[in-house]
Amino acid sequence: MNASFREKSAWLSALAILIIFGNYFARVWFFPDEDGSGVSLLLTVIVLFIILEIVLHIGLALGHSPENTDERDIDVAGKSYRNAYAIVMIGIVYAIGGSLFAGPPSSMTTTNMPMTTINMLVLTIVLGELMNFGSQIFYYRNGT
Amino acid sequence: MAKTTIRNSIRRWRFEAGEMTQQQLAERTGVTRQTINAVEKGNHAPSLELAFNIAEVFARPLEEVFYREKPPPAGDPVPL
Repeated sequence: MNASFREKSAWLSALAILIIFGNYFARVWFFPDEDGSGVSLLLTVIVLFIILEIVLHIGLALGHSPENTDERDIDVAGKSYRNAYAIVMIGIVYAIGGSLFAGPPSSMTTTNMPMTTINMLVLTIVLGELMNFGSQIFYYRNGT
Repeated sequence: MAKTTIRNSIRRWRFEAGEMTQQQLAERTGVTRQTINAVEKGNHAPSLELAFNIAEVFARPLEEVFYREKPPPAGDPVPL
């Protein structure tokens, strides 16, 4: 694959997000938090994600030495963050709106935040990151 | 004002410079080979600094390496 280190890194990060958080949200969707273990599951998933990212990037660095960031990388990152920002803003507004207008929460966490709101915010971050890495891949492939 | 496209003749000047590789040009201008490839194909508009650096490597004025291509005036037949 004729790609820079950063493009390959974006592919791996997007893949890690899809695998780890795809499983997490599938589980949350099909098996809603009824026993109050939602927070510990979420923390486990976040730790697993960090470990997977580290392992994948060590593997990448072994096969492809990282290059210095240049102006194209900065340009791609800026445009990708701009795209992700829109997703994050929509998600946050949706989560706030849902919290304001929803009825009493059925399952509260130790932070006194409904698990649904926490999952909504996590989903927002996940979709924002997918947009970020997806945009990076697009701009690296098709130009800025 | 009509929108113009910035073109370049980097490929030609690399050839004139003894078939200089994209990697060699990248090393001399401080960017990655992929960035030189993207600039050469018109997929990345270089900063003024990079454009001047590239022109300096070939010892050419900027406008001999980068130039504007204006679209044909309205009504002109589109070349096939």
